[in-house]
Amino acid sequence: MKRLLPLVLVLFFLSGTAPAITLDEIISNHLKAIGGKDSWKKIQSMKTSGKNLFGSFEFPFSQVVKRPGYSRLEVTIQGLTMVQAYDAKSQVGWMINPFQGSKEPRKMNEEQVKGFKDGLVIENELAVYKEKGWKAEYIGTDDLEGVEVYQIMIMKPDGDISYHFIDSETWLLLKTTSMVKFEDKEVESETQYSDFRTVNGIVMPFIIESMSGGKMVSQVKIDNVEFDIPLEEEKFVFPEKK
Amino acid sequence: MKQLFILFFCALSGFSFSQTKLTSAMLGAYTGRQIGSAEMSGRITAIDAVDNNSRIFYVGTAGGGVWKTTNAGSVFKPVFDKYCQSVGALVVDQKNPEVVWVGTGESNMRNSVSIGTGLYKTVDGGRNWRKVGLDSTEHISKIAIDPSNPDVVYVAAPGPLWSNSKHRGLYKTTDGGNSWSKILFVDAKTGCADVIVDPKNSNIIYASTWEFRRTPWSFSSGGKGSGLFKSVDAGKTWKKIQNGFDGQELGRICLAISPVETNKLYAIAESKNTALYATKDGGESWVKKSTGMNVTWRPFYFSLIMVDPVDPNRIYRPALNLSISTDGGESFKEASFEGGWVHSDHHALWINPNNNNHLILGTDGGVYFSLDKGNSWTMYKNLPVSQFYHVSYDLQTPYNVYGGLQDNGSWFAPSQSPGGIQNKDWTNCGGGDGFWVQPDLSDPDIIYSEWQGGNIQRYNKKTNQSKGIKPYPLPGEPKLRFNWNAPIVTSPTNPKIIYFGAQYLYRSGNKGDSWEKTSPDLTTNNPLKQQQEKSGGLSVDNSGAENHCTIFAICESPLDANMIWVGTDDGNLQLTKDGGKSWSNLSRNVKGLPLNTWVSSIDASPFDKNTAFVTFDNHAMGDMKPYVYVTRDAGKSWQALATKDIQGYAHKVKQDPVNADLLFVGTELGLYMSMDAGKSWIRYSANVPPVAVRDIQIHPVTHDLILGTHGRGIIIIDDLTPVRSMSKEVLEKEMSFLPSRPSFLTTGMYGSAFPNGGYAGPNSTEEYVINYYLKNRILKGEVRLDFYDDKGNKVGSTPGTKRKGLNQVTWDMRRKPPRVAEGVKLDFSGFFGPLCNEGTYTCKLIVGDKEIEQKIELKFNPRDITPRSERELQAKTVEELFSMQEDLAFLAFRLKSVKEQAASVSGSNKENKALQGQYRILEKKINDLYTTLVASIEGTNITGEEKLRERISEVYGDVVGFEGKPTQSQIDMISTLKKELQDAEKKGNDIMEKDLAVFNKTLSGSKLENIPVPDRAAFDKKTKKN
Repeated sequence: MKRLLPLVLVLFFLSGTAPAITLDEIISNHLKAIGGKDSWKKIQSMKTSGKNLFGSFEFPFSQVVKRPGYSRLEVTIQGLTMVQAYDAKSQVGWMINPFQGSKEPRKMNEEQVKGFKDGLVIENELAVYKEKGWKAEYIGTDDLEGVEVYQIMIMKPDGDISYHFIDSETWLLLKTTSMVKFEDKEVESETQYSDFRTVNGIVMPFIIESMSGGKMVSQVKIDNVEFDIPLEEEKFVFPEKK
Repeated sequence: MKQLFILFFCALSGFSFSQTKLTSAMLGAYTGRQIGSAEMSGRITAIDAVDNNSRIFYVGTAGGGVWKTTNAGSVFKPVFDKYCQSVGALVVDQKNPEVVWVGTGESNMRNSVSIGTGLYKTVDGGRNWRKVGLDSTEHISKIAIDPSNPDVVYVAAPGPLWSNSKHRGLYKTTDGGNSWSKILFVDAKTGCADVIVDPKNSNIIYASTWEFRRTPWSFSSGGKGSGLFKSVDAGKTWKKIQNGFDGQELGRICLAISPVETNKLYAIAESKNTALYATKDGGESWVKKSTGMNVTWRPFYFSLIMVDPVDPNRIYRPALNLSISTDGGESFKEASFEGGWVHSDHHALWINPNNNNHLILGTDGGVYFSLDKGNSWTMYKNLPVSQFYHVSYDLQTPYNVYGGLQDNGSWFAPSQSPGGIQNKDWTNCGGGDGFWVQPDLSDPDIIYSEWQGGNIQRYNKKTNQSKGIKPYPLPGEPKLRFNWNAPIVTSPTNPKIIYFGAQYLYRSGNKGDSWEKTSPDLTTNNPLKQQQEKSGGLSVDNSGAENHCTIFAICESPLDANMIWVGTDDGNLQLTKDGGKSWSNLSRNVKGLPLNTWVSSIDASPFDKNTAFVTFDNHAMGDMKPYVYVTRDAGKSWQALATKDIQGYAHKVKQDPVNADLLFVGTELGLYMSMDAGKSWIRYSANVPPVAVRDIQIHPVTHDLILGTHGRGIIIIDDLTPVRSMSKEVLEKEMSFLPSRPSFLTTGMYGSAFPNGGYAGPNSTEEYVINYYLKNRILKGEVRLDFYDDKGNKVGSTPGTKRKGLNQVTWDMRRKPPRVAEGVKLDFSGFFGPLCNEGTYTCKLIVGDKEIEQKIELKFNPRDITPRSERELQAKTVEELFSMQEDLAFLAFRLKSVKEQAASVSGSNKENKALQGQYRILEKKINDLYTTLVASIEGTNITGEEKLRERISEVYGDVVGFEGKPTQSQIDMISTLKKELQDAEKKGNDIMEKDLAVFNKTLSGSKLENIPVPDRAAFDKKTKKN
């Protein structure tokens, strides 16, 4: 009986409740898990390509992003190519939507362009919130499709709020819900991340899903990613009429 | 050595590290479908808005949670679905409108009132909530925030309804809810019913205390504990302010203050002479004002009075109806119904402080708004918070669900409807308060329902006529005692037999035209519990809600029609084995059950006639424990099944008719499920909030789990088949397919839910359902399902979900759409593939680098009458059109490719004049042909261009979308288009062979490489056929 006693104590401590976790612990573990803050900072630009899925329809896409917020996305359907771009220098977002018959480039409206203004084309909000001066708070644990996640809330000065759900085991970011406020409404969007792979010293998701009501609406499946390839700025600038 | 010990110790204790347990989260993929109804909505208990932006407001309900709108009610979203659904009080912090407080536990103490689990707070507008205290109060009636300091909050808790308790009184926090103190407490029988903070002086607090109690057979409001108090030091000390009140003993007292003249208050004080009182001196003295009916009627239930924010003499009294006074309470007039009828029984009112024309009213039948000070009202028809007592189903396709609602009559609706199950799909079949509703399965026109007091009706759908078929006592027999919620139950084996319960069991074989008394008095017949005419306390209230010593549950065995189980509200559990000739009371055999505990439901097992499951409900004696028992020897002995995993008192138990170990229990706080015959339980939470689940049915054909909830309407969990198969072995598999009910090959009839001026509940899917289990959530690799025909061709693919536990993915059973010629606009047929043909297909589940496969059958629904020959013609015609589109796409591709290559080489050789000339000729020839093939005019206007591609698409759309033979016109048109296509192909070939040859000759002459014509393989490669 004496020999078994220490074991009983061991099991008792093992079964005790875990100590409360802090916001800083979660963020630091998360950044470590995705390759470390510095590995991400090193990246100046990225080019991804793959497939966009809507239901059972699949279309090829290609996207380039460059600090401090340049972005250009192209999706081709039935030979027609849609372009969505943002010029970080002039803060102009624009697009070409050929599906109704016109190839005229048009500037984005306030609602469409708001998401680009943060300039977060490489890192996620959790990596940069401190230097941007945003407030963050650890809300508590939650369940995401059967796994325990830590929920972190980030508040931006203009009132927009986003929630980030981090896997309690792998520390990877599994889901983000953002609430973007406009004068007349609030728009909510939910994104899930999966198929995590290590490339170029960082860990990033190769599947990004847009969700609504817990169900997937569209999916981005990355086939290929390249880092820091040469990019001309003309690609991002709004093509003025000649 | 240590390791050996650990293993040894674990082996001794039977502990296994690797055993996977089924959790609530693992069932998350099977979400309940909430189908409403919002047509008559439900009982509203609290409303508050953001004063400076009234588009944002919150609605608290009696049993359906908290709903928030940010667009003035155009859309409501439930924001409290993780928590107790009964709301007693709700308040928005106007200084920080993202902060909202919710006190759970409705405080309008009717017999069917629910219970709360404490006080909650949100700081992000309802996205996340935290419980901050008052866990055991069970009822909260008012929350008042100090207008000068939002961290100071007062909460009035009447406390438990059914027992003595110290958890009641007026509570206060000064640190935003982190800690609480009770600042006004009278005794264990008396709680706090109302509280007001003077809007101009936070030290002045008014509060009313209330002594009250309910038992299963009576209600009492009033006593020495009740009183009206005032504090001038923020609650440290109190004095009574009843100078002028009529009556020695008081009951419930409700209060209101004028925000502009804060010495003016109004109170309705219950006594033997209930009246409205007014004070002009902050409560030092009161003057009696109106004693009109709407002011004084049922004060325990109608405890709301409000003063206009601008005019201190304008008072609103929402009660049975809405009364308005403009003379400080002397007289009241009823609000008009110019905009249409407003549901009676009002418990919540919000007046816009910035626009006193604007009111929002909460009734027992939904939320209404007025923009003209209450003269006319419009209902919000999109709040599906109806309170069903029971639910039944029929065997039609799609099946209909039937049920009765507190305050809102009896209804039925289909379980599937085009555009979703909308308000218009709900049909009324009875009035009053509805309870049990049974369709006559032997006659599809007949529905039995009731209104309170045992008023059973037989309704005919065809004639819209109702016949009262209530049994009457025979000469010499005592008055019949019917429970408020009297059971109407049909025989599971003979649809012509219906049962109805008073204190006797009645049976009819002729639709209620006559009844056979099938038992003696089965209740205790205790005279002390039959004095309802005295019930009410200070205000007599005998609505039938307290009727006691009545039958509450009836269940005929599906295996033996002579075995009938009956349960009563006073705790008798009776069984007959000879069709009613003799009865035995088994309740004393149920060990561990308090005497006379109300029997809430009985479920006789379809597996063995000696097995039955029973739930008992003792909440009305202050005991909130769930009691669930099973007998396997016809009632001689009983085994307790409820564990601490079940929360809330139990209303219903149901055994699955296919998997005997699968049990469901509905309690006041949610739906629970056991996969091991009751040894362990989990709460089913996938889109099923912790709402009171009063009834559970399992459809024998669709295997749907159908819930009658008391606050969120009818909720359906489609197809229990995969859940039934969740054995211990399956749980240990890395990945495996799970069975489903048959899916049929179809283009679909019902579509998605599309709200159209009301609420629309979703339909179940009509696509092919694939269920599978994953032991872990997938973080690395893709999850995908691929489909192959019996020749090994891949016909389709869909992304999979990656949940830990059960997953469900649907496939639209369509092949890939045809490739189409590229133009300047998108073409519809490029998105719409034909339905696969009947046959055996292989479904592969790919998870990262692992895969499993199963065979699936695609078949048209055998009920479908379309002849095989017509389907074959349709399929053949679709194939033709499909090939035509692809052939046209190939032609266009070749032309485009040649032109692009020619343009490229001529563009790089601008000095070569001959080449330039040849290119222009070639280009023109190609363009002239191309523009006949597909729409080419750019521009966003509706050009209405119809070239060959568009015309093929038009017919393709007609044929591919209909599951039957094409018309002769369509067939003829196809011939025409085929010929045109052939002509175009000939012209194209001519260009390739002749004109291109000429161009190539010029190229060769300049020592430039010839342009090849791409073949089919190049086309397939470019368009990535697979």
